Amino acid sequence: MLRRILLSPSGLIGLLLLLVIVGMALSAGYVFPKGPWALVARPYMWPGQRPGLLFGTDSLGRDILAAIFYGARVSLLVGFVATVCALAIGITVGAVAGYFGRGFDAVLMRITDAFQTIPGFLFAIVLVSILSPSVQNIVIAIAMVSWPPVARLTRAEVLRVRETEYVQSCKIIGMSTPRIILTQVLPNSLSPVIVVAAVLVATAIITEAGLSFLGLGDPNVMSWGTLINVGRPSIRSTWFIAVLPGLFVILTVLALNLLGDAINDALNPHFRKR
Amino acid sequence: MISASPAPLLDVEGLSILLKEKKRPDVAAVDDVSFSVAPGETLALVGESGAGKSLTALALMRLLPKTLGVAAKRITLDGRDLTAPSDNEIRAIRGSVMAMIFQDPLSSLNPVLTVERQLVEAIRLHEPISKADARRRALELLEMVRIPAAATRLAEYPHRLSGGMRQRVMIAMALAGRPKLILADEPTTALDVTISGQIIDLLMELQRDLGLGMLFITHDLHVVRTVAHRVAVMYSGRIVETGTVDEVFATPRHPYTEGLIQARPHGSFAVDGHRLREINGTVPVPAARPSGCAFEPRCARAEADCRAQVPPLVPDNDEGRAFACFHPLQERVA
Amino acid sequence: MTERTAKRLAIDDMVVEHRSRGGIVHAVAGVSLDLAAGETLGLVGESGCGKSSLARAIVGLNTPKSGSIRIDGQPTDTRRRGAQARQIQMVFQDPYGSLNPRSSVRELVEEPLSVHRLGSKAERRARAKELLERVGIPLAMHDRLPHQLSGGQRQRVGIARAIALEPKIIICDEPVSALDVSVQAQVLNLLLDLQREQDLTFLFISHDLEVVRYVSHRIAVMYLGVIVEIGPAEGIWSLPLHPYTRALMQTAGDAERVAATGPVVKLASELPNPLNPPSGCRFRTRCPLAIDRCSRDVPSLEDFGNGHRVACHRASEWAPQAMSGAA
Repeated sequence: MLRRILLSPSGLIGLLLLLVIVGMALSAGYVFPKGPWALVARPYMWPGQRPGLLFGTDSLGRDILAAIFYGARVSLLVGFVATVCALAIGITVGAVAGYFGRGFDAVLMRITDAFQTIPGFLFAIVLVSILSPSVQNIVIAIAMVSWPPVARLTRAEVLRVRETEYVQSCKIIGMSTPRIILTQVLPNSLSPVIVVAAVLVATAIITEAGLSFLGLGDPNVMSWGTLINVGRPSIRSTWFIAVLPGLFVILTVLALNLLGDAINDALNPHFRKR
Repeated sequence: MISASPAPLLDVEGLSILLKEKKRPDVAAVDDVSFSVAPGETLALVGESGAGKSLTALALMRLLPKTLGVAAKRITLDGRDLTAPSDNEIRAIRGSVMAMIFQDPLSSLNPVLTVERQLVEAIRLHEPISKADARRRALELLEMVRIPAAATRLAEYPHRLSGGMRQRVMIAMALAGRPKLILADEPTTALDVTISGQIIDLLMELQRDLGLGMLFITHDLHVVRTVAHRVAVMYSGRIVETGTVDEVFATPRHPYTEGLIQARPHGSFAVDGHRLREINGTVPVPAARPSGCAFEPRCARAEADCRAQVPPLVPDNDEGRAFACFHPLQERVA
Repeated sequence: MTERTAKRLAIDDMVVEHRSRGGIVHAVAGVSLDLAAGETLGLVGESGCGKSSLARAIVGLNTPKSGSIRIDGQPTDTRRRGAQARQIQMVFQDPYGSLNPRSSVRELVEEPLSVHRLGSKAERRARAKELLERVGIPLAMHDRLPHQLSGGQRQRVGIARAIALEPKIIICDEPVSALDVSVQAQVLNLLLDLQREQDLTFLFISHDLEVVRYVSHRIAVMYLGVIVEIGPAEGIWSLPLHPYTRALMQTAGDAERVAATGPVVKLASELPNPLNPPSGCRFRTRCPLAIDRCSRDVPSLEDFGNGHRVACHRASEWAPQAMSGAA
């Protein structure tokens, strides 16, 4: 599986990019021990204007590169945690609806429909402005709007797998329903969900950046969106303050999408024999 | 018995189908196969999965993907040389001289077009006639394949028809271009016993009435006995025995043919202590085919020479009986 | 079989319904069957006749609308939970679809043992090894995944899984239909050997009449949810009495012999819509021998001697005198 992902160019590029960003997030504390808020030089310094400040400084004289390193932490944390929550809700709902059908299916799918009609970003804005803007609440807001597609996908796959003879054979040997769902149905249903998960992480990162850009981010953490917001007033002159973090948002999303494609191809048996 | 017919309708000599793979030498999925079909005659190609039966038919229709190389010493069809046909030549022949019936009619019919649209299209592809005439001919064809209430069936979509009806429509489509040779690839395998009996009766009747030659591909020995005049037994890409159906079934000479026949119950009862004869192991994939006789690892009669070289298909009598075995079973003295 | 002991498997007046778009289909419309220990009952019929629905109801995959299933005289609950699950097992048709593609061969055979908590982990492992060797899977293949095996080997794994719980009854649903001819014989011989060793009762479902005749002690013919003829394999084979059975036998082989024992029946049409089965005898719409009475009265299974029972108003016309006299 991993080998197949690495063999495809998109998988390799995606994985390498993502590793770089994860590396940045992990090493932020070592490379910039003073943190992202420290004032290191005068404001609006262009990238490379002074050695050691590769990306220049922002409107308050903070190191943009440090902000980007710390921002990677927030972006990845929010992206992954929100996705894990969305997967947990979506897979549970989808598996129960798909496997038990009838009433469960009808009720759970209507709830899913209801959530899916909510415009995700607006809902996140509303939720964060009602609750306090903290990382935790942002994660909750994003998870709440991103589980419906997971539930739908899981349900469709579970419906298919539920009817296979190997699942029936497990019923005949007397296996309990939870064990059938956990050991037989889900392992054979989740490959398309994994592909979607990669895209969900990307969407969550964009949502978080968007919230922070609007000033609804957690004020205690430095996020890429915050930095873009900081650079917005001076975008005509010192455009790099907004563009550089924007570039990292794009790169991260691109990496996740490439990886998602590669996983999809690797899981799809029709592409295996090329 | 149709044995010594003057000119065969289809004559195939030395047909090979090569699996072209990167990094590895080509493997022959069908290896140097020769056979012929006379007008009004049915030749059954019988064998297990992986024997190369379907590939052979698809190669004749030139319907194989480009990754498979088709090579033949000589292929003639109705007096035309088809050894290396151009795309135009093969298009002219497909449907009008040679037509094919597939195993699964649902996937070979277009689901979004009515039976009539598809039939009219097939007819007008081969004959420059008006739409009205083509419609009349479509109705004729459906009646020819004994579809009850044919006129109302014309407006149906394929998924509304039962499996048997679909296969009848497929046969009508195949007959649309007035072909002389029908390639039938397991046409009854997907159908129920009672329906498959009806389809086989229909095919045999049509063949008699229209004087068609038929290449009938099946794994079912019982069907072979019913439909075919002659039979060619294929094993792992080669013909191992051929002859008239009566001869081959009565006195099989190749151990594989005998094994296939013996593996079926043929009216015995397990209760009486009868045990089916097993053939150990499975059919090898072409790439893992032994260097000598392909059946050698599963054969009780195999000796050193079977491993050393491939036994050639040697004629046994003048009526086209032949088998490829160094240690054939003895002919029973009747 | 003169002993009147409790039957190993007794199915009484089973009705199975399916909801479909057009309404309710009575897939099984009142079927009663008895199977003795060590007996094979062959069940034949076209697809859509209800044989699979019956099989699924017996193993507990369908909940029947009414009817009872008794094993050795003991009533069973329809969901077949706990210990009862061990008594009836099933061998499936499709050796590709009936094994979890992610489990190794050994895990697949250990699974039924672990579900029922039989033995320690090591004991289960040893037992799985033993079972796999019994069905002819060499040790080197025990850690392989299903897709690395041939069709015949997969079916052997399916059989090992079915016998792991030492059931009394095995439902064989077209167990060799998907296999090559030369492999069919291997699997049939294996099933029959296991039956002899373990005194297994088989309900053997197949559309291949020759195979059914070979393995069965008795044969039941099903049409549109009902049994139309049942009796000893040899009796049904040599003298099929129901017109439908006669039509099946003609397609399956000795057409001459069937013709010599009564009317020749050629089936022209196909199975009628099961949503709306014909009145009276369900077969009458396809039966060339149908008379007025067939549309009015539902024929019941009548005994023609030796346990050979037929549901046809006209069967006595071509049944030999000796047989109908014995009724």
